[in-house]
Amino acid sequence: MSAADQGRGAAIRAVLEAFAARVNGHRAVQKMLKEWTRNIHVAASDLDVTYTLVVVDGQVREIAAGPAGERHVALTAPAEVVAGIFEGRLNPFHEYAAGRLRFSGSPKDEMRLDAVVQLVWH
Amino acid sequence: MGETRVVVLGGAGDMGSRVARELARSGEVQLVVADLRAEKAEALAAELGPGVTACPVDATDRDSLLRALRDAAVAVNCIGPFYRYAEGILHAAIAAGVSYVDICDDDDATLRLLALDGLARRRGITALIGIGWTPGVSNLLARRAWERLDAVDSIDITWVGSAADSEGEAVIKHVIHAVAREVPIYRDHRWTRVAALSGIREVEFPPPIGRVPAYFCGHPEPITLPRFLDGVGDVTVRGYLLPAEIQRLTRALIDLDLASTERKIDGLAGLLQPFLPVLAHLGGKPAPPVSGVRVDARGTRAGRAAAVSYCAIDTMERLTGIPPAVAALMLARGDLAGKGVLAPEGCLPTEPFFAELARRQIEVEEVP
Repeated sequence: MSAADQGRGAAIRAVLEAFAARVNGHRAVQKMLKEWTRNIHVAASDLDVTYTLVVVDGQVREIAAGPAGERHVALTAPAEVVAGIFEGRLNPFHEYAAGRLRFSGSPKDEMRLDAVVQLVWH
Repeated sequence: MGETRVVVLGGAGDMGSRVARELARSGEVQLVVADLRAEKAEALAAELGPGVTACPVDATDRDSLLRALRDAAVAVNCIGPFYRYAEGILHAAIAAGVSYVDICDDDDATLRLLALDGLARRRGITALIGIGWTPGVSNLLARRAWERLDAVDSIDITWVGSAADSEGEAVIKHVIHAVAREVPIYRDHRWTRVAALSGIREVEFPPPIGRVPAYFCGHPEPITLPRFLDGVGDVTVRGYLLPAEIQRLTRALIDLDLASTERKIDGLAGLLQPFLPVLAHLGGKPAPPVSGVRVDARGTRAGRAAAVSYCAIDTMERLTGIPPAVAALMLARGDLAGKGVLAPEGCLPTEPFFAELARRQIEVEEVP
């Protein structure tokens, strides 16, 4: 991986860390995430980089490097789309409908994640 | 695992499986997961641990119901839509001498269940109806207000449901049934009927729901609250669906006469259910995957006008599935004395019940 790509991969991690901090402290979001325990694999397809958001009872406990644990939810998209989604600038459902995001997981988890990424930043 | 046998009817369904999980977690009862979908019931029973069993049940077959209820002390009925199945199931529970809990949310079904009060009393059973989210938590919040004020003149209940917080067809059928006809309210100490979707009022909920223009809909609370809370003169229930655009879709379906019979509603629900993830995104912004209920009570305290309002927001699965499990455990322990067909406000101890909900992280807050 080039140094530039490594930098972009680290930037994705920073985006996820900022997202996690907001989720963990957001009262309204925590209402939506009660008892929600999931490993969310987030892959930047153009960098071949994956991180796992380890969510336990609504709290993001860890951001692991690589695909960790059982895969409950997976999002795969170019790095700029991943960053846009977790920074609240892009709507996951629209990106999915436009073919820029691949998602695997239950429809309920998709709707939950969708609402969370929008709510934490607005 | 306790000795008391509790059967969850519809136990493999969206709400029923939540009830089953709560009961299994308690370790207090001998749990049976009963469902038409035998494989799903078996899988859930295996997941919930040793001692939990499954059995097939067909809600349209009285003999099947009686077999499922054999040797049971308590039946928890989660089979919707309740306007179709509840009466027959309660009849079977009474015949079997089994106490009963349900989450019936249809006003017309509630009237038919209340009509079985005499039968239930003579059989010596307790049938606690409508102990879900709304009705259920809503009724007990109304009772809490009634206990707190010296006199309560009016109770207004508002619920908000979300397409992002729903899964099964039964809830879709219930919602269409609730808004596609004239519905009961209680006004000036009398029951009367109003057009559903009328009576729009702006109601404020805490985030993430916010302010919604809710409308009259068919629900049990106006039927039961005046029966069990003395002196209340007005009871209304309003509802609202998220996202806002769903209201336009609902009105269009009604205006096109696509929701005027049970058969049409069944067809609509079958069409709409797979589209719930799409419906949840109508308007471009995802609906929050939570549901809410608000109860506003007005009356007097110490001779002066007074008001109190309560609100609860959580996922529909928790709000609907946890209260009936708590109620079933109370029944199984022998903590509820009343016999006959009773609504929550008529037999549940308010504060101990809310304490049990709080232990399970269902938060109720007083709101301005």
